[in-house]
Amino acid sequence: MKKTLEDGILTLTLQEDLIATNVREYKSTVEKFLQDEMGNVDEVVLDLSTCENIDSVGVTFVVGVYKQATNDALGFRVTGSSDEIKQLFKLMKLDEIFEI
Amino acid sequence: MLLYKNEIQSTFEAVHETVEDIMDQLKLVEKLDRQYLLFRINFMLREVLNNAVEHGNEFNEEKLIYIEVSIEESLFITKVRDEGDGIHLEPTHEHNMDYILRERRRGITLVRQYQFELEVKHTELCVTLDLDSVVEEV
Repeated sequence: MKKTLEDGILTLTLQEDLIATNVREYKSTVEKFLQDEMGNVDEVVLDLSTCENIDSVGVTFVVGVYKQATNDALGFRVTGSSDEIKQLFKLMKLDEIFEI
Repeated sequence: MLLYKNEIQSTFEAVHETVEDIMDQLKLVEKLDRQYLLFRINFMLREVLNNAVEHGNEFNEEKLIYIEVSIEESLFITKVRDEGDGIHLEPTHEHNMDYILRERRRGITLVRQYQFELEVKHTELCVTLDLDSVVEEV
């Protein structure tokens, strides 16, 4: 996972699929990034542009990052999703909770 | 027509490798040559296999998961069997706020929303998709 911080926007770019085998590492990386940048971040952006496949463990990860950002009073949105992943998020009504 | 048959270990890594192998086979099947269909099948396979690893065999690597994928006329059929105590599927949920933000156990509802039909016979789960009636917008 790659991170960039610009004007208070912390962009987290996944470099592999959002599936069960990768989620544990993603979770600990996000926690570390947020701790490292605490106080410098206004919004967390999850960039899924290189992510082709997702499973429900991956969906849970996205919801978890949203919850963590909200608990820290930060904004949250997802960018770069494929049409299929967008449709999945809409099916779950996640588009009513954060921008996809 | 049998497309894939295998037995795998009860790990998420084995599931990932298996799904990749199956998808490589399915990409060659003309009836399945639609991006949204391949995405849904990929999602369903990961869901039912991950469930077998986690809830069926409870990550016991000495227990195996058996998978068979076939097409019979318009039906895309996946059969998964584990060595657990029996499969208990969660009921379909409404997407209210508590459900949307819950920690886990949302996958089977999504699989059903993708128009797959699920039937349980003790430790075997049979998942069927009618390719003639599947629609892109769900």
